[in-house]
Amino acid sequence: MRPDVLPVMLVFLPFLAGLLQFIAGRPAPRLGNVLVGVNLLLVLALIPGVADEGAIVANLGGWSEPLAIHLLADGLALLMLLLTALLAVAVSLYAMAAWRDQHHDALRFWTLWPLLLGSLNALFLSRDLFNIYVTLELVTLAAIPLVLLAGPGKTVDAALRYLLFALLGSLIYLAGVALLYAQAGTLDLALLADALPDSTLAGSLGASLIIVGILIKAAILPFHVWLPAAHGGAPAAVSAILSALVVKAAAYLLLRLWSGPLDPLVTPAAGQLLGALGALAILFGSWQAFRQERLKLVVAYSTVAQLGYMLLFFPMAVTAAWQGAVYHGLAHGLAKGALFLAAGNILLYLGHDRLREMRGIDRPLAVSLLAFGLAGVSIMGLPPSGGFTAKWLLLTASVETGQWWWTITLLLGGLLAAAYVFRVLRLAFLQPPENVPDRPGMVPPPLMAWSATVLAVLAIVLGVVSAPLLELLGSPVGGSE
Amino acid sequence: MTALDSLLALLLLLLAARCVSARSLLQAIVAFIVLGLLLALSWVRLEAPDLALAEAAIGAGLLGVLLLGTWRSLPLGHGNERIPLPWQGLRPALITTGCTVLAVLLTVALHQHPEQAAMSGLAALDQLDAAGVDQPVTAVLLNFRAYDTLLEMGVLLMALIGTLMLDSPLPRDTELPARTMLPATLAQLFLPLILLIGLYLVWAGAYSPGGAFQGGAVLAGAGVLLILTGFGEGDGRDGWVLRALLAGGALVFTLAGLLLIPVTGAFMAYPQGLVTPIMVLIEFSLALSIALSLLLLYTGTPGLRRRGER
Repeated sequence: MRPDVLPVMLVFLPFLAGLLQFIAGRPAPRLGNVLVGVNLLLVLALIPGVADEGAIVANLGGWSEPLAIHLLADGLALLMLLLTALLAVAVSLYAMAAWRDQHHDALRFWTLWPLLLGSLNALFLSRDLFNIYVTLELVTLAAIPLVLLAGPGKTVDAALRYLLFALLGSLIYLAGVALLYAQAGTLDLALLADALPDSTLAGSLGASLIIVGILIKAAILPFHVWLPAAHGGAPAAVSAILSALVVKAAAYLLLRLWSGPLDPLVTPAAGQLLGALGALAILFGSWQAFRQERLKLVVAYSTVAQLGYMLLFFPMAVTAAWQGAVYHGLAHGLAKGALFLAAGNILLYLGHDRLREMRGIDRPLAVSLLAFGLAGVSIMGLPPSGGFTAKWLLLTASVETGQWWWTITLLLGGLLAAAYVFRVLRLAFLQPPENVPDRPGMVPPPLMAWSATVLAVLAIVLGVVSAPLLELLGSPVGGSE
Repeated sequence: MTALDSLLALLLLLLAARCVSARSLLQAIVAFIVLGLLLALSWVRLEAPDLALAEAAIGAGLLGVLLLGTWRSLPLGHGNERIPLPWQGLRPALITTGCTVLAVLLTVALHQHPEQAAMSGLAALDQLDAAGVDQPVTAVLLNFRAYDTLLEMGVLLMALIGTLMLDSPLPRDTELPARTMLPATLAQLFLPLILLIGLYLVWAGAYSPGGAFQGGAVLAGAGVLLILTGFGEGDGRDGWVLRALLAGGALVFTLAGLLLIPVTGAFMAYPQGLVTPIMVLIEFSLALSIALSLLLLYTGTPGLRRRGER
């Protein structure tokens, strides 16, 4: 098979599966699981080509530049696809067990989830500003109905707020795209940087609008207000997808656009501003996570904090910072998936997720707590986890560029993360009071416990396989060395 | 014509102000619908008839129907779990400042740097002959940038699934306030005409303004008329045929792209000679899916049935 068919398959096989599931009208979890398996194989098949040639490009429609639409699988896109594919397998296995007896919800999940997977793949493979707009819309509109799966009336408010913020972000982004297109006459990311005239007001305004639009979608402080309720309220499998992949996709776009087409338009001051937003998100999000009384909100606020680390690339803009930001995205994705799935298991067993009433769950939920603890190690950034590698790279970058203030942020962020992770673990391992309350829920089936654990283990393993992955990633396209 | 344009611009501003300042929601909705109609006129003045048609059919027409339908059932909604939002009191000030700053910056930016001739736009006009249709907008939507259009069909489908997932906010047995049916003669008089216009718009997309989105919206309007005159209604159950038609646009589009890879060597490239028939097939299946999706968004139900049928 020609390698450029792979990107096309990655987009359209999930779409086809979702459409067929929609038409069939009966939940087919097996179809969904076969799909995520095939998806993983397709991503793995991309690796040799990308490693050899740096990138695989597929031309859609066969037109020539500047008209053509391309799908681009380079190192950055490939790593995000890989994260998505690994998470997809774990989440799908979890979901198969979680929705086994709920016909109605299962049908909705297995319709929307393949469509979301295809949309995420399409977003990561996009090489065109307008394709990115449409894929962002697709990702959002697939994600929001999934939030509603929590049950009638429960998350309507959260989902509506998510929708309104997301639409605002899309509109602002689209306005920016229109401005840049008016200046450059092309939407192709590879051609934009050269086609854009130097430092015009329209160009700067367009770039700013694009960045603000994406910041809203990525829930970066101060636009984080929609995230905790939506991610904390959704069912566990959905929260894992949203926190690990959906907001990550927006953060990924910032990296992709900043180091490529927007490179001529961005200034060091703008980089410092984004870094400051990231630092604020790290400190504020971690502090909020420490103060929450419900487990899923702890994990959701932790996402607000962890997304901040990816923004630390912009002020430093050296290769180590680039690798650190991307690696942080990968490590956080795997760890956060594990945390949410484990939290879902706890919720299933207790019937609630109030932290103060959690004591005494260490025996029945040992495997899930193992997952939570291991994922916590990566979130805190302790060696040998993926989170450690990412933070180490970011620290190196801050020393290399002499910007010591990010060193302090990184260390404080790690300490605060340790505080909120250990707070949860302490409450979970406390001895139960004499009169044990009745546990209304059930012990999660092994599939649900182990899918969380596998993700957590992967987050740790990420720390020891960094060399080949970083080589695959390469250095930022247009960034200063 | 300058006088007419100035009047249009002034009216647009006034109506927009009315939309955000009206005390009652109904007044705001009515202002919004009128705004949509005037916007359509503005697009005509800006020589963008495709946009004008879309704005009139979707922006002013169907959107108005959806908004009014929502307004009608608002009092029946019961409270969901509300989550407080920070900086609630600051919101009006924030929004006003943000919009004003943006408007000023945009005006200045567009004045300093008037639009350049777009290189991909020119390339598209150059290669129009190979695109299978004479109308540039349709060529962009269904051929040059078919990928975007295909993904947009996914957006529409997911919006529909999401809306239907909200379920009805009403307890099963509550009846909406009795709806005054429009006289049946209205449907008998106008329906053939609307259907004809809808189908014509889809077909005309190949060589003049029109196309799947505009035509689909008009066809959906025909469905809305059938419901308002009491011939049809929404149904809580759906069938696979309906679902297949809803997904059909995206499905035909995708399959045409995938199955021809061995022939043409690229996804979404169509073999010479077959371009036009394939595009017409895609256009009509898209229009049907769009019409049905919009109609179901209006009824808020997964299915449709003839009135009185169970």
